[in-house]
Formats: sequence, structure tokens, C-alpha cells
Amino acid sequence: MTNLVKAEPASVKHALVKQKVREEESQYLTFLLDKEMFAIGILSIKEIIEYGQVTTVPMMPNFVRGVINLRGQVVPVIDLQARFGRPSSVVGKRSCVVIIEIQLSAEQEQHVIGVIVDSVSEVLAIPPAQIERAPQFGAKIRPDFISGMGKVDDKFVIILNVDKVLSVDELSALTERVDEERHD
Amino acid sequence: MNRSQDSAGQVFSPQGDLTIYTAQQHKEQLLLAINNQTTLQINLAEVTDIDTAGLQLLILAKRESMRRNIAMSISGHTRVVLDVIELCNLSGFFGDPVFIPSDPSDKGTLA
Amino acid sequence: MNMEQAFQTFLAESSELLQDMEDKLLGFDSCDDCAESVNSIFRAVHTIKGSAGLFGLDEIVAFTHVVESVLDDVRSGSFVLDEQLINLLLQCKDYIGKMVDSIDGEAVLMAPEDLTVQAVLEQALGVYLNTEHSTAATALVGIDDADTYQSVSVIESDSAMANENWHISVYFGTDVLRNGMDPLSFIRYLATLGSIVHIETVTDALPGIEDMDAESCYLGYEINFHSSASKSQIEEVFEFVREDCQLKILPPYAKVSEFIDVIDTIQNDELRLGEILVRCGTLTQRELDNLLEMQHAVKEGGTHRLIGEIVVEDGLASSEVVTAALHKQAQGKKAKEKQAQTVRVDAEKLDHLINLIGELVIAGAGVESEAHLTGIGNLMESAQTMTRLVEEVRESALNLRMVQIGETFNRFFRVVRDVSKELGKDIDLHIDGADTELDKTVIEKISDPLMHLVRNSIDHGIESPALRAQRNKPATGNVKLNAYHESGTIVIEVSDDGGGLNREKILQKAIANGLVSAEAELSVQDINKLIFEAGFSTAEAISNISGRGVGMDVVRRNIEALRGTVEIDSEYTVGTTIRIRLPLTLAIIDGFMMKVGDAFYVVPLDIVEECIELNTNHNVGHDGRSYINLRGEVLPFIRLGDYFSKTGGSAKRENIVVIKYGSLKAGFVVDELMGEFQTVIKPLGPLFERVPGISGSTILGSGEVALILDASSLIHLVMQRDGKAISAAAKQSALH
Repeated sequence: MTNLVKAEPASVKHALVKQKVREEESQYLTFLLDKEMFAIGILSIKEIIEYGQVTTVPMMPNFVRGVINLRGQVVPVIDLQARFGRPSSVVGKRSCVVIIEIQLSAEQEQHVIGVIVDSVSEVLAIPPAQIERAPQFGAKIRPDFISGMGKVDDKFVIILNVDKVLSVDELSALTERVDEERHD
Repeated sequence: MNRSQDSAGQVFSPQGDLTIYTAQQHKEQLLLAINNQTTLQINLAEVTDIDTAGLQLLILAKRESMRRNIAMSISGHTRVVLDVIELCNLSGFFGDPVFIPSDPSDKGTLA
Repeated sequence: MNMEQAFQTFLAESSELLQDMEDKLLGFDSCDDCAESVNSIFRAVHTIKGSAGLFGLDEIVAFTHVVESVLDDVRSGSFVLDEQLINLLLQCKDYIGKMVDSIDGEAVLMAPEDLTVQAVLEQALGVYLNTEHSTAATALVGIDDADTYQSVSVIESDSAMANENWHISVYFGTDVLRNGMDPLSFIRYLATLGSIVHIETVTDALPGIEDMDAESCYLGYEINFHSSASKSQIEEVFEFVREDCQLKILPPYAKVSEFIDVIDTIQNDELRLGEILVRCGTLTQRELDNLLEMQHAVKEGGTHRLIGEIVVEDGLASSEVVTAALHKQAQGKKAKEKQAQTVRVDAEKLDHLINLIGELVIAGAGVESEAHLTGIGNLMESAQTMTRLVEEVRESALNLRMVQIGETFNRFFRVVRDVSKELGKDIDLHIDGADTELDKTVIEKISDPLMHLVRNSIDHGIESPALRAQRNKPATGNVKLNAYHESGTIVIEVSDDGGGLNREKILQKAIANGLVSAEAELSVQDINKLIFEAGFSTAEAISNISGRGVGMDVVRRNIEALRGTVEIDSEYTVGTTIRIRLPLTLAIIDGFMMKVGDAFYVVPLDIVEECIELNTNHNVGHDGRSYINLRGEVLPFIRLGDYFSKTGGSAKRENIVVIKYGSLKAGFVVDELMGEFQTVIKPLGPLFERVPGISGSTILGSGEVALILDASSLIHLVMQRDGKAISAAAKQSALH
């Protein structure tokens, strides 16, 4: 009976999708955090929404701003600045929440997390040849948060490794520590 | 068997095949023929082939006329029709007198 | 339905049927209607065999066939279903289940050791079949090859019919004609294999002239057929319509039960079948009468017999056929009712529906609050009506998910039976509240923890017979499962009249393991709860069943994951009751909303006892005390604002929401009471999994997210923190 349910020959479609993915692979959304430019690969970005109505969750580290309602789904919002160990972002007129989808491994379900940025700039194509390795120090950000330095108009843009920055395991471990600190 | 053709009477004489291919069409005609009647005469003389669908129509006509108190009779059984009725042991159900022609190749007609 | 779907249905049905079989077998000693039990056991095996055949699973067909044969003999009364046979059949049931689980494509891949099991079972079953052969009464059961029938010359007249011909009962499916097949041609073809002694065309299914679809087939045939062909040859005649017709082929000298089977299977609303069979010459009138009597005996149900009696008394019954017809009609109706009662729905579809309704509830709340803002009377009224309807829809949707816990409970009869046997204990299982309903997801998740608890009760709870005698207890131990609703939660109890917890021993062990410090002063509940700690087991001998120190902590974790709690009542040498308290559903709760600063919080409405204004009379907040005098009772409270580090709690009039959860009672101080709120629970995701005091979130009509408080963990947390603060203070003062 198994041969009755055959998979559709989707190789053609698959190839097309693959090509598109390759194009998108070298595209990055750039945004500003305290006047500094960062980039995130657009493949992991779901959408960008205006900042608003964040509900704070008690007893969370300061980089967890709270949760928002994304069309019925409750999504945590991370303050990237705070996550990098800098002072928290000040919400301004152009503040946005970038909704990012991360999948740590094939078996794990996707997590949707929002990050606050001061303003969103543009989508840039940065070919792999234009990407340098992360510096060992000097970026004032944990080196493992950086997946590379993109060269754009003779300037460097920090391309973030979202899987590390937003690692759910690490974040929730941190939240737990906060909890313990509070109660001890 | 007399062919009383009184004013309220209606003759339903399907022609050609009385099979699944024509059953729907024959049924509609049958429905017209049976409505508001006191007698119904079905003449099968022109039927060349009959299958289960056709047989069902005849059964339906018979049952419906019994329900509506309509005097129904079937005449002009051809060989093919007779074969089917006999095969299904339904002669008693229809209860019509049958004229069997001496020459089997000849189409049976009512005397 | 494609094959894959059909196959899934087969799997689901098989496990249901096997479960039913097990229930019936286990309940056989105490059942009121033994004949019906045997019948349904037989039907279960028979149905699995039939379906397996459809999928070409020959291994299953072969094995179930043997089981079916034995059951058929039980049905016809050749021997009784005794303890020994019940045990054997239970093993067979397990084996069939194993076979179904091992289906891989079109083959059943069994491990070699399983095949040994099969051989043993078949041999054991064979003993029953062989005894039967020796009595020569109904030796024909289950032998499919028709040639055998004709070679048997001596047949007991009361079990087999005198008819020397085949009887074929065939009812064609409505689509046969449209599929290009003509039933008449099958009959004609059949006639070439032998001679049709008598044929009856059954036209009962033919609808009225308006409803009749000229292209559908409504006919059936009962045929008395004389032939030397084999059953498979006759079957082949109908090969092309096999899946599109109801076909029963009865061999010459067929048995009474087989005729009953035909009468039962053929779905005629007006049963003339008995008469037809007589007219066909397949049965004599006397045989029919006997047969009907027999059918009656097999399905002796009070109401049926009553109808029959009335008919006979009134002189309406010209022949027993009427009785059979009534019987059949009553049965038909019952079957139809049952069909109407259950519809198999994909759980995923149901979940999707419930999610949508959740969204609808949120949207509805939004509409209503917007309508209020406009101040337009009509609009507000309409919005209210809509909200009420949505509420009803929500209720019914949730009810779709509600399942009685009975089925889960019944599964434990087998566990208790097997495990107690293994341990040489004599234990009865008692079940209460089997009709208590709760969410299907909860039921699924609770059955493993329950299994642990029941096994634990049997293994550790109930003492050995010797010890029981020493303690002047009856030799038979009792394990009881109970379920009931209590203030919006469902309570499931596992209790036993066994040894109870030896708290001294538990405490020693816990101290030895470093779980608690030697000085710690623990309440009775606290000590009891130690058994739920990881790596804790007081059983001296590690048995196969429990005592490995894993399990109880898993039980607790599973229950807590369902937002439930566990309590233990236990008295040494008297018994133990473990009480699990669970929320009724996981999706939507009736909530009570309150506001602290600018944040909204929700607690389940059913834990809210009352709300009182915190006024100056309560005289709090100045001396650091956190309790009030509530009508003479001390009520500790938590300032949610302080706890959640919320600033702006500048409300002039604060309120206390009095919470009661199990034995806990406390107050939450909040700024504003917002009232009842339909709360669709939204998970907070893994990031917030470990946040204590928060169990989830919900979306308000305004689109804002409100947090749902987990009152019990919040209170415990505060208790812990206070405890630590006090002991720290005590240490501090001790130093001075």
C-alpha cells in the first residue's frame, strides 16, 4: 500500500526554489543600533513591525523586553543592545521590532523571536567574497555573536549570527539565573 | 389481455436499449407516464436490450403503481426481457401474461 | 478514502477493538450478559481479520483465524470461557496487537522470538479446536475450504441445516452500475458453475420513484445454488464487485450461527430475509423457527424479548419471522443510533477548530469593548449577543475534546491483574467516577503517570499476603481509581489499602541522600512529597515493576507540566491515597483579570474566592506585615506590584483577591479589579518556560498581552523566600 502514496516529482520545483534561496542567501537586512550598523541575513527574517504594546514579563533579565501579540501568537521581544551588554535601547519614533525565525536543528520546532532595533535601513546584497572573518576583539560584542564583517562602501557592517545571539537555550538559562539571584 | 386505451390511460413504450446508458432518460419518461393516471401500459416490444438498470425501472414502475393503485401491465415482452425476468424469478412479481412466440428469433408481441 | 487513510483507520480501529476485547475478557467474570460479551470479543477478532485481509496481511489473517475459530465455538456453546481460556485469549490479544504494530508495508515483520510465541499460542488454541473435533459436533467451524463440507457426512442436525446446496446472499453496492458492471451478468455467470435452484430478487432497498436514481443499483439476491464448485470458485464469480457488494456464501449444511450472521449482516430495514430463505428452499420453516430461537438466545436482551412477547400475545405474529424482523429492526435502529453518536475526527482538525475559536473569542472581546466605547446601544447589544454565542460555541468546541476517563481507567484492570499475579499478590481494582470527563490531551498525558502510580501501589503499597495476615487485613488488597470534578479542576485519586508510607524511613533515606538536612523540620505533607524527588526509592528489593527510583519524580514532573498538582495522604499500615489535581482543559479558561500598574494579570476564575477592598481598617503596609484579618481568619497576602517590581502602584484604593487553591489560601494585592475574562491560553514559549509564578499568557481584546499567574507556584515561591529570609534573620541574630 505504500507505493500507492507516491511523492510527487518535485525536483524541478525544488531546483527553482534552491536557486532563489541562493540569491537570498547573500541578502542582508541592515539596521541601526545606537548609530552603529548591523546586518541579519534576510532568510531568517519573518517580518518587521512597528514597536508598540510590549508586555513586560516579571523577573526577566533586562535584555528581555517582554512579549508582544503577533496576530494571536505571543512572541518574546529581545533588546539587542542589552543583550550585547550595552545600555538598553531607548525607544524612539523609528524603533522597530524585527521578527526573526530561528531553527536550531531539523528536529526542533521553529522559534519566533522579536528584536528591537533603533531603525531599519535597507536590504543589501553582500556577496560572500565581500565578507571578512570576525575580528578576535575590538567589535565590543562577543565574537561568537558575529558571523562576519560585511564590506559595504568601504565600511564594515557587523553581520550577526542570530542563532547565537538568540539562542533559546542560552537565553532561558540566563533568565533562570536572574530568577535565582532575585530570590537568594 | 385487452389493450383498453381509455382517456386516462397512458402507454409507456421505451425503445431500443433499456440499460444503464438510457435509464435516466427512461425514468423521466416513466415518471411522466405514471403521474395522475389510473392505468399504465408498458409496451416492451421495441426493447432490444435490458440490464439491471432497466430491470430496476420495471420493478420501480410496478411497485409505484401498486402504491398508487394504478392498474399496470407490461406487454410485448421480448426474449431479452423475458430472460432477465426469469433469471431473477420475477414473473410472479409482475404477474403479466406472457406470449411466447414460437420462433425464438422473432420479437414477442402481445396477441 | 485512499489506501493510506484506510490503513490508518485500520490501525486505529484495531487498537480500539483489541482494547474492547481486553475489557470484555477482563470483565467476563462479572458481566451480566455473557453471551453479548463473547459476541463482541468474537466480532473484534473477526473484524480485524477481515480488515487485515483487505490489506493483504496474511500473517494476521492466519492467526486471527485460529483465534476466531476458538471463539466461534465458545459462541456456539461448545465450551465455556473459563479463567484459563481468558488468559490465553488475553495473550492472543497482545500478540495480535504486536502483529498490527509490526506491520511494515504489506508484510508483518515479527521477530523470531515472537514467532515462537505465536507457535505456542497456536498450539494452545489448537487444543480447544481439537477437543471439539473429538466431540464431532461442530467440527466445521472456520474451515474455509468448501470441499471439506461435502465430505463430511454425519452432521448433527441441531447445529447444521439440512440444505445440501450453497446459499449465496449478495447485495450490490449503489455504484456497481455506474462502474460499468451489470449484476445480472454475475448471476448468469454463476449459473454456469452449477444450477440456481431458486433465486429471490430483493428489491427492498429500491427507493420511491422520486428518490430513485436510475443509475444506482438497489438490488440484492438470495440464491439457493446447487454446485460442486468450491467456495473460492464461487467467490471468484463476484471477484470484480467484491469490494462493492455484500457477499455471504454459506456452504451446504451451513451452521445455525452462520445463518444468524447473514441475517445480522444484511442491512434490510424490513426484514423478509427469513421468509426469503424459506422460499429459496435454503431453510425449511422449522429450521428457520429454530434458527430464530437460537438467534434470540444468543442475543437475549430484555427489551427485545419483550417486543416479541407482545407481538405473540396480541396474535400479530403469524410466524416467528415477525419476531426476527422486530428484533432486527430494533437492532438496526440501535446500530444507527450508535453510528450517529460517534464520528471519527482527525484530532488535528479539532485542534485547529479550537485554535480558531480561541481567536474568535479574542476578536469577540475586542468587538465588544470597541462597541462599548461607541456608546451606541444597538451595537452594544449586538456585540453582547455575539459574545454570548461565541461563548456557547467555545463551550461546545471544548466539549468535543472532552473524553470520559473510564476507558483509561479500564486499561488498568489488565495491569493490576498481570502485575499482582507476577508478585503473588491478590489485588482487586475498584473504579469510581469513570464517566468523569476531561480534555483528551490531558487524558493522553496523564495515562503514563497513572500507570506508574498504579504499579507503585501494587508493588510498594499492597503488602505481601503474609504481612497482610499479620496486620489482620483481608488477604485481598484493594487498589482504587477515582475521578471527580472539584471547583473547576479534575481530581484523580489512586488509593490502596496497603502499607502506607513509612515516614520515618523516608526521612532517614532523604537525609542519607542529602535531599534534606537533618535539622529540617518538615510537615507530614512535605515528607510524603519526598517520594516524588528524583532518585528516591525506599523499596529494599528492586523489582521488575518499580523501585528503581525513577518514575515518581517523572510522575510529578508530568503532572506539573499539565499545570496540575499532587498530594499524598498516607497512614502507615493503613493505606495511601495519591491525589492528582488537574485543570479540565489546556486551551481556554475562565479567568479573572486584574490590573497592577499598567499591566494586566489573569488568574483562573475558579480559584478566586472573593475580592475585598484593602482599606485602612486592615491596617497594613506600615509594619511590614503581610497578612490581614479576614473575618477572624489570618490571610497572608502578596503585593503583586512589589513582587513583579512594578512601579506606579499608586492606586488609592487597593484590592485583595482571595485565592484558594487546594489547601492554600492567600490574597493578591492589586490596583484594580477588571472582572471575569474569557482567557485563551497562549504558551509563552521556551524562553519563559522557567519563569516561576507565570503559567502562560493571553491576548486581550485590545491586542495587549496579559500574563496568566500560576497562583500555586507563586505562593510557594513567596513562602520559600520568606522562609529563607526568616532563617537568614535568625542566623544573623544568633551570631550577635
